[in-house]
Amino acid sequence: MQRIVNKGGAIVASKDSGDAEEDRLILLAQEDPLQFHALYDLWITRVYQYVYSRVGVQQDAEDITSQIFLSAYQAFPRYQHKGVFSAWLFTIARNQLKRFYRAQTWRNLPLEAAEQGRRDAGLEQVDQAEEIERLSKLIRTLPTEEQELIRLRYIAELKFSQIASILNRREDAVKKMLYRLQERLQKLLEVHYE
Amino acid sequence: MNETVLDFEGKLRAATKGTTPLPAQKFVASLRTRLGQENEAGTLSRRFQRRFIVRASNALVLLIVVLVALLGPSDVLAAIQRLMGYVPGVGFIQPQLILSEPLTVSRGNVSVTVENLVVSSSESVLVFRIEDPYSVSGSQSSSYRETTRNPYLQMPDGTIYQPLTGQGRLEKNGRQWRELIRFSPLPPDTTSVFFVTELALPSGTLETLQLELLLERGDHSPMSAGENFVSSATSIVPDEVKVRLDGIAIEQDRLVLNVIVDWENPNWQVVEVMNFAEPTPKGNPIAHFASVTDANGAIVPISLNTMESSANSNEKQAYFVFLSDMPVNEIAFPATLSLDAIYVSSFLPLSEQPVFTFFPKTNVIPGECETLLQSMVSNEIEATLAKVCYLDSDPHMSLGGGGGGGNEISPPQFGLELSLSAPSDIVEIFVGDTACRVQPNPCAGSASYSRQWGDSDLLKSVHLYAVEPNWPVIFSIGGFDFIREGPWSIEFELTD
Repeated sequence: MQRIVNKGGAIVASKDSGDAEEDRLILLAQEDPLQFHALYDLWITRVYQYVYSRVGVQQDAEDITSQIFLSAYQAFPRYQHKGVFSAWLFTIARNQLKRFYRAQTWRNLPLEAAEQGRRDAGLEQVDQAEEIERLSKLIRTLPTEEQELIRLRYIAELKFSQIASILNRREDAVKKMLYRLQERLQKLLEVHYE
Repeated sequence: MNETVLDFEGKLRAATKGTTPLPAQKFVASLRTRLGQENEAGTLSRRFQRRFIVRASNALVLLIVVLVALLGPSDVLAAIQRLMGYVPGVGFIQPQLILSEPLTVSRGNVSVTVENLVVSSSESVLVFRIEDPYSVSGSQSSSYRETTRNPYLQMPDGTIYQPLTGQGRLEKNGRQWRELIRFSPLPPDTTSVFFVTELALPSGTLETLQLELLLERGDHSPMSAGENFVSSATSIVPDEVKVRLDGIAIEQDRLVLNVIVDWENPNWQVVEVMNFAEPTPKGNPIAHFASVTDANGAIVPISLNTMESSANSNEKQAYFVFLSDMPVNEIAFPATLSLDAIYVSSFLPLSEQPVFTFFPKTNVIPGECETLLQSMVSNEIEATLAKVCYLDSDPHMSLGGGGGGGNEISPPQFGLELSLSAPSDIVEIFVGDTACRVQPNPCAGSASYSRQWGDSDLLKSVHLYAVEPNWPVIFSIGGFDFIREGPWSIEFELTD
């Protein structure tokens, strides 16, 4: 088991042999940069979907995703595989998104634009059941930090240990946050149905 | 986890991932190709690095031969010497700054050429020559020596550097005089300096020459880049930060300034120019530390457009774009961009993290506090542990809302809230429990609170434990955010 240490020196996550395949790909990519493609293939969909869930516009999502992977590729020779690759990659992603939002704020774009785009895209692509639609709306009313937790878990499909590393939290704290959030959403959804 | 929860997780996935489109295959393929090109470039550079060096060397030799044939050996030699930091009479030195290009002025038959100005950490050496091809008295060095009088260097801010020593010699059968003058070292961020001297002309008149010498870095990297502007002065305070204009443009009648901030400290991860301390009302432009003043002293309102702080801390560079909020034709040039401060997020390597030890003086009672005065000092930060309080609640618990659940995870049973005082420019400190480096439990999860979000002058950090920690607890400062005051100023001008 490998421990992941955060900025303050605290162990925030651990990883097990389930990550062996990713470890192997990282080693290969570190020996031969051509092999970075394997990591790209492994993460492109999850990173894109995560980004899209944040910005809601295809063009922006593609631009930001491109920047994330180009930055990751350029920085990869200096990446030290002591922690979790996904945490490193998603830290880059979150930084890129942070910059994107700061730029957006300056441009004074309608704040609803991204949200509307997200709604439109969702409605176009998926024939949502009513319950799923309500749940989707409920999630959008959650505080930013809780929305982020859900995105990382269900859109980026990250493990608790990986999320913990990204959020600088302990793994058990992340689990607890998510389970409680699930329960709260369930109750809220039931209230809606009643 | 029971079946209901699992079922609900499925709904959550459907409500999130299910509503998020997959990336377009065209985009995925395109980005993969782009990465491949990046890779090819990188591989190519490594694979052919040696071959490139050999070919470049051959090409250089060939170029020198051609230049010698065309221009004559003395001029080519002088140019090569200048490029390599060679100063006649001094030898090769490691220059911080060198003259961008020689500068010549002529008065009648007499011409004065500043061949080089080489600035090292110990001195500044100016080399110039005077030519008078028709001089009959040119064989006398004294006549040349008397041609220039009272030379000195003057910085754009008026600071004067007087000569320390000087030496000269006659060349070209007395038709040329070359002189070398030593000065104290100019500041390493100097982009231009004036060489001022009185020139005695054959007519008997005395003229004061003032030649602006443009400098570039000793490694020949540009002090600033861009085609349509001239950066004539850069003030850099402190030394470890360099602010430069990377480009200037006019878009839709607005002035666009591309600003790059470089830093040297490897512990600095992120540099921002946003003023986080000043709240920005929703919809308003983001508060930032930059300002532009035009030649008339009028403030030109500017907005922070986009920012591209490097995602990779190893690059040690941040990139910002500012846009004027008034038409460019209302701005009088030269104008000055000033950056009053920067916001820095710093990370300390384990070996450099200052620590302090906390041992309770009294019984540990939730809700009670102990006032302490322990100072931590390192090269980077000075902070004082002012107070430690024992928590009886878990701030993280509120994040997930009410309700039970999470049976397999014990909620934190114990908490410490640390209050630290630090210089006012430090806005956040990240504190960790060193026990976590070696064992997962008991050690603390931690959270820090930025100064501007707090309600006091103290910085706080909260540490939660599943069980009471083993005393004493040794805390370390893993990083901190701070505001570094400038100002950094860049004067710039539109040429067209």
